[in-house]
Formats: sequence, C-alpha cells, structure tokens
Amino acid sequence: MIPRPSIDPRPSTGAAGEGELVARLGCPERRRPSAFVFIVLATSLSVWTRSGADQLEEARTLVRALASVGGVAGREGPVRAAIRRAAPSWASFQEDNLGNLTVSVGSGKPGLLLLAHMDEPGYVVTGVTDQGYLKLQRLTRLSLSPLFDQFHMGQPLLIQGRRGTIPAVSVVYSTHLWRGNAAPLNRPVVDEDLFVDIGARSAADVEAAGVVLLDPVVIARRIVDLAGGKLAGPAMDDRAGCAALLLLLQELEPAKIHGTLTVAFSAQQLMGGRGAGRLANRVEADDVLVVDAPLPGGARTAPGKGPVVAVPGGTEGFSQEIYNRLAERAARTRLPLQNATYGTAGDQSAFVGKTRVLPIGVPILYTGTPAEVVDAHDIVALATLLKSIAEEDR
Amino acid sequence: MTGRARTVLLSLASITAAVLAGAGDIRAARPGREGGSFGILEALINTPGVSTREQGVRDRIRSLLPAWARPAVDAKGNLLVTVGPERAAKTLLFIAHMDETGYLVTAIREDGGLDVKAVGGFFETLYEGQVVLVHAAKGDVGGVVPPRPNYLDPSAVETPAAFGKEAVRVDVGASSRAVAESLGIAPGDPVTVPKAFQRLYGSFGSGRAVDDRAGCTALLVALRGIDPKTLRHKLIFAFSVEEETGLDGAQAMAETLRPDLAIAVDTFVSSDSPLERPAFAHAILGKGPVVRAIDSSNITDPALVDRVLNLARQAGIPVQYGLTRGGNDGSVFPEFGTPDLALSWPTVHSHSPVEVINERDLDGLGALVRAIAERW
Repeated sequence: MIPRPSIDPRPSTGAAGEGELVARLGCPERRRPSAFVFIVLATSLSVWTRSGADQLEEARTLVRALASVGGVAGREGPVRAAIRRAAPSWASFQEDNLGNLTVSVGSGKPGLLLLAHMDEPGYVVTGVTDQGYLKLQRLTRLSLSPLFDQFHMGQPLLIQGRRGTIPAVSVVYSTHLWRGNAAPLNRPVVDEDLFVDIGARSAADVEAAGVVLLDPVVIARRIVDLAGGKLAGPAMDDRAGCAALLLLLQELEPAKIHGTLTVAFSAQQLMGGRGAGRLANRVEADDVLVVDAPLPGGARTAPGKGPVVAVPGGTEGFSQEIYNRLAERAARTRLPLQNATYGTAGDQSAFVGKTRVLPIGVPILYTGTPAEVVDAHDIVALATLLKSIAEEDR
Repeated sequence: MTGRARTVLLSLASITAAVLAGAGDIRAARPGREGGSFGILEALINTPGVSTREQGVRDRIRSLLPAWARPAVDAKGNLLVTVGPERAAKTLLFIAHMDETGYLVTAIREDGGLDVKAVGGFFETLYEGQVVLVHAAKGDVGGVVPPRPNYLDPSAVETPAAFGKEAVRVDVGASSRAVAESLGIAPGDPVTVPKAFQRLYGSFGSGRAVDDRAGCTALLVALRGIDPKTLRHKLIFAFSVEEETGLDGAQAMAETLRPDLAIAVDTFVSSDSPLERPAFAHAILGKGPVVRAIDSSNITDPALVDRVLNLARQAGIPVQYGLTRGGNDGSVFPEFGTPDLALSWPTVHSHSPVEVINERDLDGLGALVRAIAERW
C-alpha cells in the first residue's frame, strides 16, 4: 500500500524540531586566529560595529543554523525559516511563488543584486514498500559526484515531513554477512539501492509516522568544528554564501546604501537556476553578484585564504568591470581574494548576457560530500567586501 | 535447523509486549519510555570507545552500576562485578564488550593530515567523505575523511575498492603537524563518527556501536534488577576490552577465571533487511532476544540452548534462536573447559554508523540475563 500524496492546506511550519538533531559538539577551534586574520580584522574594524572575534562567532553560528536544516531543491522551506529567524528585525522580506526570498534597501539607480541559493542536492520519497521502507529519487539537474548515493548509504538521514522532521537511516549491508564474499560495496551504488528505514514495518506505519510521497530527504545534519575556525558538514554549498549575506544584512547601515541594494536567497539553483531566473525578471539590477561555491576541480583555492571570485575573460560572460571594482576594493581594504573557476550553470545562468554578473563566494573543500569544509574567516571577509561594495558611491 | 530462526511466542508474553508497546509508544519524536533500556543504551552509545581506548565507556558503565556493586578492573582493562555467595556450587560469567570499531591515529603528517588505521572489520567506504571526531587529549576535534581524489569524476565508480586501508586519512583543518599537535592530537587517538543515538519510529533506535553497548546495557539492566542477597550462584558480570580486535580481553579472563558457564552477550547479525538474503541469520527485529546457538566461533550444546528457551518461557520472555556469522567473547572459554553460551538481540547494518535495534528486544535480553542469573 502506498499513501497518496495529499495537499496540506496549512502553511509550512518550517524546520520544526530540526535544531535538536544537530550534533552538539565541543568547539575545539576556539583558538587564536592566525596573524593574517588579525591584520584583516584590524583593517576592517572601522566599517564594522562588532569586534572581529564576535563576527567570527556570529559567522559560525549562522552557518551552523543554516546548515543544520535541510533544503532539497523546491523544498527550501526550512532554510527560508532559518534565514528569517537570523535576519535583522528591520529586514522586510518578499517571498515569490518559487520560494525566493528578497529584501531591498534604498531606492533608485544603480541597482545591485546579491544572491545566494538556499537549496541543496537531496532526495524525495518516491515509494513505500510493503515492509515499510522508503524508496527515493535524487532531485537535482546539475551534475553531482558519482559517489553521491554511496555517501548516503548506511548513514543517518532526515525526512522533512509536513508535521516535522522524522529521523531515518538508510539500509546497508552487514559486514559480517558478506565476509569472504564479493564485497557488495565494491560496485557503484545508485539511488535504486537505497532503502530508508524510519522504524516502520508496514506501509501503514509509514503513513502513521507522517511520511508521504514526495517528502524531501537529506543526510542528517552532523556539523563538526575543525581547527582554526573551520567547520565541516553538509550543504555548506551554499549555506556559507547565505550566511555571508545574513552577516552583511546584520551589519548594514541602510542609510549608507547608494541606489538600491537587493539581497536575495534563491530557490532551485540545482535545477538550473530556476529561482534566479524568476529573480532576473523581478528585480531591476545593473550589477549582480552571485554568491556561490566555485566549481571543484578548477583553480586551486583553499579555505582560510580569503573569498573566491570568478575570473572574467573567458566564454562565460562574467563582468570584468565588477571584477575590477572588487579587486580594487579588496586591495584597498587589504582583504585577500582568490581567483576561482565558476561554470555557467547555476544562478549566474539567469543573468549572463542580460546584465553585468560575477560569481563570488567562499572556498569549499570536499564539495559535494556530506563533509564540506568552510572557514568562518572567509565568510566574514566576504561579508566585509560585499558591504564595502554595497556602500560605495558608483 | 537450516538457519531460519524460529520464534517462540507465548500468548501471555505477547500480551505483555503489546501492553508495553502501547498505542502512544509509536512516535519517533516521543520522549524515552520511562525505565526502558534505551535510556542506558543511549548514554553508552554516545560515549566513544574504539578498541584499546575503552576508558570512557568503562567510566560510564561504572557510573551506571547499582550502589552495592564493587567493580574491579583487571590488568587487561576488563571491568568485573562479582556478586553472590563466595562458596556457591556454580559460577556464571556474563560478558559484554565495551569496545567498538573505528580508527586510531597512527601518525601526524608534516602537512597536518592524520594517518589512521582501521580497528575491527567494516566497510571503509562508510567513512568516505563523512565527518568524524578525533578524541584527543584536550577534547574532541572535528575532522573529515577526504573522499578518493577522483570522487567527482565518472571514473570514481570504476574502482570503488580503491578507497580503504592506507588511502584513508583524516583532515582536521590543520595546516601543519604543529597545528594538529597544538590541538592535543597524538598518535593513538581514537577516531569515530559523531556518536548520537537516534530513536526511530516504533520501538526502534539506531547508532554506531549498538554492538556491543546493547550487550553492556543488558548486563546493567540485570545487575540493577537483581537482589544480591537472594542469589544461589556466584556471578561475574564482565565488561570486556578488545573484542573487535580478536577477543583479547576475554582471552585474558579465560586464562584466569574458571567459571562453569561463559555467557557472551553480543550482537546477532540479522538478515532482517531488504538488502540481505532471508535464508540465513533471519531473526526478526522486535520479536525478542536471540539465542545465538551457532556462529563463526562457537557451537553451543543444544541442551544449553533448550535450557535457555525453557527459562525464557517460564519468565514470559519471547525469544528467538538461530545462527549467524561473527565471533563472540565466550568462544575462548571452551578450550579451558567452560562451555560458551551466546545471547543476543537482532541487529541489522552491523558495524555501520546506523546499526538498528528494537527496544523490546533489549528489554527482553536484560530480563533474560537476569532470569539466568537468578534461576540457572
């Protein structure tokens, strides 16, 4: 028996209960930041109201809050709720029918749009077996690691049900039962191999637990603190970008904005920038900065060494003018910048050829795994740079 | 018996189980059932204890012992609680192991990366691209097990066996050996996934090291339930070290203790999973504890199996029996003349981060251990 999908007339309750599922771990990284960080922070203190250490702590808190909820493409509700909770009280968000969140400050021209995507790759429930196991389908159009399904096998998962989050595990072979035989994991794992166990042993149990078809499924939110202000966990791409934009909003002095600044959190980036496509038609902007993770496997960048920026001049159509302005600003404020490789897929695809656009972000290690690594220093530096750009007289 | 475990179900026991399960007992998000064995299991599972580094688990178990218990630690590190008349006709030894599979740091590289070695047997790909914790002297440090270098290329799946053994490292974000050392990391430090027991729907729960913290839980449940003054036999409850690396803790006990019966309380690796074949090791989760009559290390005297089944019947405990793979701590005793009896609960996904157990099975196992302790 398979429960039929039904329309729930109630408004989304967001990420009910998900916060409790984040591993409460120690903070061994609360150590002295490197000397370079002191220089960076000392030079940028004049434009910030908070101390550098407070900003780092706030950046870490924001990343944790945003990465500790799931946001499969098209089902970004929990991330939206987390963003609303973390935003300053003056921020009055608009939400369009694709789920993009925007907040605008100032008026008139020039228009600057900063956007970061809320969604992450994941699954939706596509079936329920008679024994009560869930079957899944991956939900993304952009390419993923061929090991994506393996990363989810034998791991704790979360179902974002309509009545709250339901913990689950994905079934894996027992090592004892396969010793001496061809090891079953020595072959590619595909999503059809995944069976999800919520503790139900019949389709009726599944229904009673509140799981229905199309409910989104993500890996459990295990976020750990690494050395020197780094964090590792799922969906740092692009919650780190969202965190930088929230940090910017928290520190922004609206009166200083020249023209109109729009900060946007986009939906369905992984479906080919569908949310950004909507924004491109909704928001009038002369300049667009897409805050996202660079392509892995491109130019070598490292967490902790500053924000990353796309290099114009190729066939991608990225703006040299914005790049020059950023580089000049970064040099003047002594913020480090790393050149990175960005493709044309993703949110930038909605703007290339229509308006000046440049991708920017923070470097991420192990992109596409459930253990993406980011550095809070880079997030603070990126927010500092974006604030500087938003307040400059163009 | 060809392998399919038979379920011994008694009407009275079924009714009891149904009452215990209760209608309100089925939400995953529900608070823990008062007095249920998962309360103890959760505390034990959330404490890391990779083989040879069982100190934390030993301390946790000590804190959960009844007030009358006088625990002793032998030279190997096994924790023993002895109770009952000193001149009893029989001595029964119950053993559950404290250690778990995982990694140990073997060296810190110049670039700050950690070399590690696997402890015990498991699919190492379960750690690939996942977060871990290094349990260092100054506290836990988060880390990542980097995926195979070509993990983004289609070629990554062509050689899946390439990941494992020497290819496994841990990245804690340290840029040099000095930085890693400044965090307190040293060779020998254990590495585990972040340990967080998770209750699931119904009476199920999941976590890393259900094997064998559930066995430890059953022994603790029994210890907390018995009245030392009424015992007929001398009982030794042993919490052993280094089972996963070759039954070394039990071996040390076998060489010094001469009990009349060694009862190992450990996982029954079950095929009750859509990925396994039901023809073998098919004990059903939720249908009660399992008498592990035959495994890779031991064949129990059928008379002993029957005796346990009878005792369970008298005590109203639903129980299963069957055979599976894997060894047990009791198997080192027969060569010294002591028979080995293995008691279990059924678990799936053995040695993975998500071993699954049913609380009713663990409650039943605790009751069965107690019944044997009091009535054997």
